[in-house]
Amino acid sequence: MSGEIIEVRAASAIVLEGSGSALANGAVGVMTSGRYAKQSAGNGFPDAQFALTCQFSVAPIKNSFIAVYARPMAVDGSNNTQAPEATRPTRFIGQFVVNDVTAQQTMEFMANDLPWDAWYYLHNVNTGQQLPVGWAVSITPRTFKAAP
Amino acid sequence: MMTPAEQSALQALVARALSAEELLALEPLVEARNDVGIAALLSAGRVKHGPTQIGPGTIVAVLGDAGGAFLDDLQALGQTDRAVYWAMNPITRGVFDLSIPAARTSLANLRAKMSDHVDHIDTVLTIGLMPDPIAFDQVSRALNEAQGLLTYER
Repeated sequence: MSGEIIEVRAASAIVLEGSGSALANGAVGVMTSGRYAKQSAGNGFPDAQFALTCQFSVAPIKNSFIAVYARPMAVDGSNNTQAPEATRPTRFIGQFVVNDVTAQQTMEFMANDLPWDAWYYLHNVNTGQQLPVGWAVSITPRTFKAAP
Repeated sequence: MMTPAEQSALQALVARALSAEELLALEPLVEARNDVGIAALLSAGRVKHGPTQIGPGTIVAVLGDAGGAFLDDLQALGQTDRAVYWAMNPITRGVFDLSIPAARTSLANLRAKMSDHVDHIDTVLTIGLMPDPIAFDQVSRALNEAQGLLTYER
């Protein structure tokens, strides 16, 4: 129906990490291409779906988590926030729920109202296993608009 | 190859030196950062004393027929040993707390004075023992500190 609110997603995903380094349980790592500014790269879309694809060598703990943190940049025009730590997420964005398999798995979550400009980090919260080399994270910007 | 820092971190976690066999078994697990596997290996055989108050009933239950004789001899010793005399009070009331290290040490020291009951004392000292596993996130924390992985400044 015309004027109804409908969801709009970007035509393609943006890769924040194409092949991440090994990430031990409890460790935090920054994504190689992990700086994302939603006003430019995201066309101003406020939200994004995050997707993680990875493959564990040893089965992790079922229902454990891998979290995404953001480090907002130039928040007052020049100063950056602190880099996230394992015990202090600068800004918690969301978390992937892990399955206890060694086959490749892909997980996703939707994050609302992302920072304007930030570096993104991955935290292997409690899988109990090292996230091996090769994990990848991408985001697909999302917004809403009035139906034509 | 495990670094000295990683080895020290794991030894600090278990509060003892690790044997050559343990280090050999840990090597591939640390290499793969299989923290669940490391925790399981380090947890093998670890026990602790949980809160455990014992009395005549527990002692008789654990020692069986020998329990009565043990208590009799303990009470007899109390006629000449003031520490044992007063220790009989909480034992009789069923509140002798084996989770207190000093209580276990006192009981263990009775081996020298009650040579007929050395095995019984050892058995009583096992009351309240429970597994004391190392959690995998303790392993992660220790190794991540040793490897400098807790933060990553961009």
